[in-house]
Amino acid sequence: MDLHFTAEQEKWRKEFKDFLDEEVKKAPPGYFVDDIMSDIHEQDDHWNWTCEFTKRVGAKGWISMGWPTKFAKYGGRDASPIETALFSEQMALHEATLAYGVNTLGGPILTHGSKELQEEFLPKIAAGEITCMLGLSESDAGSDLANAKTRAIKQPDGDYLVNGHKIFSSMGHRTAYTLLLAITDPNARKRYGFSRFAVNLKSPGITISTWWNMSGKGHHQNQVFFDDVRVPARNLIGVENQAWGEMNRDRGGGSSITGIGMKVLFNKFVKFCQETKRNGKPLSEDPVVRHKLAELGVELDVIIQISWASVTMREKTRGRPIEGVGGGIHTSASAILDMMRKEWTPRFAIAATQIVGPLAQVRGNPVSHLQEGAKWAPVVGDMPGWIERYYRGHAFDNHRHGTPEVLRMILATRGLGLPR
Amino acid sequence: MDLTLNEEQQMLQKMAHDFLEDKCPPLVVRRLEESELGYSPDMWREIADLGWVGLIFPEQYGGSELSLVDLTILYEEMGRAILPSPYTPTVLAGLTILACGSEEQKKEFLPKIINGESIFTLALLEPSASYDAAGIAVTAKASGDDYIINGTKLLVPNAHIADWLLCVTRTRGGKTPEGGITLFLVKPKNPGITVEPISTTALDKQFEVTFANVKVPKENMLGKLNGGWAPLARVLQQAAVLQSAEIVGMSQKVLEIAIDWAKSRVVYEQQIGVYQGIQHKLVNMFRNIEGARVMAWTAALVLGEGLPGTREVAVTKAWASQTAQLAGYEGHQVFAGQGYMQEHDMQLYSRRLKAAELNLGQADYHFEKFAQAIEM
Ligand SMILES: Cc1cc2nc3c(=O)[nH]c(=O)nc-3n(C[C@H](O)[C@H](O)[C@H](O)COP(=O)(O)OP(=O)(O)OC[C@H]3O[C@@H](n4cnc5c(N)ncnc54)[C@H](O)[C@@H]3O)c2cc1C
Repeated sequence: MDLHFTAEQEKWRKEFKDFLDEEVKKAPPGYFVDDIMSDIHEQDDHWNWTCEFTKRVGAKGWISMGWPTKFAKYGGRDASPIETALFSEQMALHEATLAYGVNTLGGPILTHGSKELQEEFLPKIAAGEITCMLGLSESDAGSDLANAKTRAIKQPDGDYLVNGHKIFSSMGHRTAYTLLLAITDPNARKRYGFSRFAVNLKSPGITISTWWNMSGKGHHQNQVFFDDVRVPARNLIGVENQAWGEMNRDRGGGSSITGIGMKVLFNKFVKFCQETKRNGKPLSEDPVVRHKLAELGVELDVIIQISWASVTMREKTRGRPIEGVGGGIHTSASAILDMMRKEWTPRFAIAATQIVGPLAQVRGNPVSHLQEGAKWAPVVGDMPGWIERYYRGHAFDNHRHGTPEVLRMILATRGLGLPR
Repeated sequence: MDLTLNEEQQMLQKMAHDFLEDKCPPLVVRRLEESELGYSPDMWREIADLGWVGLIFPEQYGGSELSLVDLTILYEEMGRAILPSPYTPTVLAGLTILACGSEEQKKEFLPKIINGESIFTLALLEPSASYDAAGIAVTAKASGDDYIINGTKLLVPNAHIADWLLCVTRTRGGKTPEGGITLFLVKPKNPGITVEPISTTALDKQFEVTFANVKVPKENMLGKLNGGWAPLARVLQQAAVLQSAEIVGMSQKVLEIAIDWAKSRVVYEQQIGVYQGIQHKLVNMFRNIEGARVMAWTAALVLGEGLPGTREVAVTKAWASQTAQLAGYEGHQVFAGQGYMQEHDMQLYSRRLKAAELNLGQADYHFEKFAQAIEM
């Protein structure tokens, strides 16, 4: 066991840091205020900068570095989990984001895709040129995704004709593609007739309509309608009707460290509490405030450390399956971390409003949309109304890619071996 | 960065696991809980012979010079077996002697500690119930070549069997509470000392030790006059990490027996493990245990490097204390009525988990330490 990075790992870390230090200076004004509000997808100049930045990251080879060496010609060099984790750590510390879904198609295509599809997509993904939304959820298919009804029916010429309606569809109005889950065999038993496709969102027959969420005016979610949309046969990912099993075996995303971005925000809020006085005393000297913050801070340190443990376990067992329950961090770690993150974030948001009190409900004025009365909104970091916005945006948005309840179910049955 | 066990550590773990499974099943724990001594001298000897007591002491005194992280591995196994033994206070006293004793004292005491001959205990806590220096009110006053100790120590473990007490005293008021603490090694049979049992939740052997004009020769001072707090505080940090590792072991065992029960107990025609009310409790325990284990390793590594480690220790014991309470309480919810009965093992664990949660500071105490560590 060792808490230190090797000289080589420190070198990687510095390279990521130096690059990002320079990059963040180039962001358009207000970018990081909006970023924290995750509104960067809304303003054109912010979205465009994100895309340009992503291409520069791609040019460095950092999007595809974790791919197997089999894909060396697209930059795959089987980078160590620690290296990819260090990249994610530095990204989070710089509050930087890659363009939405840059690698969403990467894992599925490099694990299951045809040679043709790989040749078409992998170079562009590696270069940071692809953006992609997730076309999974439907009105009757959230946690129980196998209820999805959207169909892709094979035509005599081999192409597929897609009809259906996806909802939520984050950033669908910005991205070029969707990773679509659809039924290709309507007669199969539940789960057995699904296929996945890489679908160009400009295809005729696709209508995208904005679906506002409660986080404010920021445009994030959409409903995507498919009316007789023709999808070329070559855009099928993997084996027809086998998507359900394949989905659980996607590989090729790098490792990441959960909790770093949360810590950046947490530290800003602690600073706010030190600088804000109530009844003549800094908030941070109030024992109740200290207690609330410390409890959150302790858990955050635990989350980050579990993350590192899981990355180093992956590093050690590279190429070999990881086994066992309870004897150290294992495959369940990612579900544990996802669950912890999704429960920590709302707790932090709630605690922040309670610590700040009545003015926590005043909306601030992030760059993209001014709010009335914003001068009364408490300023955290350089963001007026951050607490209000964070609460509205993050106390309730912990469901995508699996609700905490569903993650518990997965951990209970797959991790602990409890009966279903 | 590597937070995984290496081969030697896995061997240590297996060796400890197998030994304790064989020698210290719940039946033995129950028997010892009711015995007057509270531990098995035979098992203690075996443990010493295996080199466990000397695990992290330098080779020159007979130890194996392994690291604090290695010791957390052993502690996890001792926790899993809820081994009743004078291990902890003896080793902590030994570590204090190692940290600030004279070479003479080290040569005199450490080999005997390591080979299991001498049992030590810490006379630390007082009616103030504080683990901070400000809580120490027992006085030691110079009188010729001696010091005279007066006052009361509480929850002193194993005082009935200890050969030596490591007594934490106040030798002056001074500007800071830390600056007036001096450590003494005292024989419990010394005239003026009374040892009275205190019955606790865990029924571990805890005592009130009262000092009434107890005369201790100057040579028994450990470390410098008024300089006792710094080395002791360092040992208490190590103790908090080891206590956390022990909690990991206890909680892990609770989780395992509760999972077995959830698979076998049938209620309303279903295994109770099917019910999400039960699943969620077990997953929460699992989550906490994974975090506590990794944190105990982390803090042990930091302390092992000689770094301050205040933040890591606070996080570790705060999280482990919460884990102890969670495993103790939720474990009982899974076993329901059965676990409440004395013949069930659950209550052996939950009573000890409560002691471990409170020992060296519960979560609330360490939240404040964390707040200080991040300069909140
Ligand atoms: C902001 C946002 C962005 C999103 N972006 C996308 C996107 O880009 N692409 C996409 O495809 N989807 C997206 N989603 C959809 C998201 O994946 C679903 O919301 C999520 O899977 C939950 O489904 P649901 O909302 O239909 O809830 P339901 O599945 O209806 O669940 C309702 C409640 O029942 C609980 N529940 C369900 N099953 C169980 C069970 N077995 N045991 C215990 N409790 C259970 C859930 O935990 C929840 O509390 C997004 C959602 C949000 C909120």
